[in-house]
Amino acid sequence: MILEQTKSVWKMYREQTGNRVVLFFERLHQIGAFAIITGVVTFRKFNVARRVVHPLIFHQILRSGVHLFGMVAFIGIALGLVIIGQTVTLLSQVGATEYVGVVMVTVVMRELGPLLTAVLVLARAGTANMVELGMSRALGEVEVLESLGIDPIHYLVMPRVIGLALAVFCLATYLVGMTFISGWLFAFLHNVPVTLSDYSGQLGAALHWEDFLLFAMKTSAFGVIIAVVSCYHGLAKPLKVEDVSSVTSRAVVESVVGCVLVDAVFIVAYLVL
Amino acid sequence: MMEPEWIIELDHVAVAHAEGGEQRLVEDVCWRIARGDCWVVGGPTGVGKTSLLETAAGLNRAADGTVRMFGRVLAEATEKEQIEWKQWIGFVFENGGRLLRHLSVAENVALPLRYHRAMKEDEVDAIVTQWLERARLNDHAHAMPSRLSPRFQQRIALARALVTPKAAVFVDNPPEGRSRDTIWWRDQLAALASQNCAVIVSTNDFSAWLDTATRFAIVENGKFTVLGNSNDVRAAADASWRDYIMVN
Repeated sequence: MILEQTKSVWKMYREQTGNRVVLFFERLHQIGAFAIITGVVTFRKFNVARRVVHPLIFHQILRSGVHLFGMVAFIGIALGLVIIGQTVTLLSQVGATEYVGVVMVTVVMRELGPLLTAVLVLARAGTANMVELGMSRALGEVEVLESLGIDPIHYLVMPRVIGLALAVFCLATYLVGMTFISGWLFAFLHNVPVTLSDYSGQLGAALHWEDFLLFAMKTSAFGVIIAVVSCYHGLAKPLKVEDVSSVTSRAVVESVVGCVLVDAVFIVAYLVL
Repeated sequence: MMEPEWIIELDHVAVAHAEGGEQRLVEDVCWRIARGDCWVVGGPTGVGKTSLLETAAGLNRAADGTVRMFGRVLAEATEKEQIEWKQWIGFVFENGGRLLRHLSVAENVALPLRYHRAMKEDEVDAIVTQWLERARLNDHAHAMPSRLSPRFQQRIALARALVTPKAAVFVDNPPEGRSRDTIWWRDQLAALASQNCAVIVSTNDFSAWLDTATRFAIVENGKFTVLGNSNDVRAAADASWRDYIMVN
């Protein structure tokens, strides 16, 4: 009896796990296809109806980027204080304060800065986009665009993808800059034996050309992932108004998973380069 | 290119729900629409009139059969052709016409001009003002759609549909009864039909359209039936559809 129950639980577990894996790859396939369509439309129609579409891109940059500057600056300053505070204390104990710059570059520029910025943009702009597009879909505005001969991908998705990619890149740059500056200020105010020239020299020595290239690629990729996932959930399938909140939660989770997976790819790239 | 006699043709078309449901709402629709026609399609609520109109306008894929636009099979047309045709076919949705909520009234009307035409801003403004005056809503040009009542919103949707020249205009459930609003709609659509544009209206009330429309059809029990002209509708005193279609 117990053996049979164990077998059926194991079978159920296998089936559920199998289903989840299949669903994961199915969703990955769908979002990938949506991303490719968006890429083709962006490439082919970037300058089509620019009087209508380009202001939408600027609007997205304003909403996802400029309006988040205050929050990103605050987080950047806090991050600098925390990291330098902890790192310097630790490195002072082992007499290795010359590695402060390396730690800042590795932790802030390569990892924490881009990922934290992506999460902030996702929380503020990604969810807003998702709700906005979900409501557009539920209220039939997408069909209206089609009836007017306007491609919804071109009008609704492309501006968000470009806007979010640029916004995450710019905000992550600000965040990293703020963190570097506030880190040194903390060290200066606490009489830590690292001068400004030592600190900037360490940062300069730790930074390589591939850091800038991969930073730009990674932050832009995060912006694209957040935009594509939220637009996919908002537009790709028929939606009712009451579904919008649950689909928004799903889009947030999938965006985070997408960003972390891409982050893993970039970690490998850093190791290879 | 010479335009064919029929701008829209439906050959044995099956209509399904726009959101991709399996259930077929109307079967075997054979319907030909020419320029200058003024069609009124009646039927009880929920029978599939909206889906039929959306299918004929090329917004909803036919579950079966062939839809032709300007003599070409819609399913075989390229994306470029479909976008071009859609610019010649207007569609006014029911319940407020589905205006884009993030644009003001004037921006909604101007959208097709700004998107498809390389016009100067002052030219766009002049055309938009003209259409808003025609809709008697020029005082609300800068209002957001949510500030207007659904009947005013639907007028704006008509202005948005007609701001560029059209070969056919579909109007889903315009106001019914004998109000001034109904008279406004009837006059506007009659004027359109007289300008050689096909007008297709769905309604539950034939009464307002008996003196205006040239052709009447009904959707009931999954069938599309052409009734004829207004005299044929008046003469069909014993028809079963008179139970749910108002005819005075």
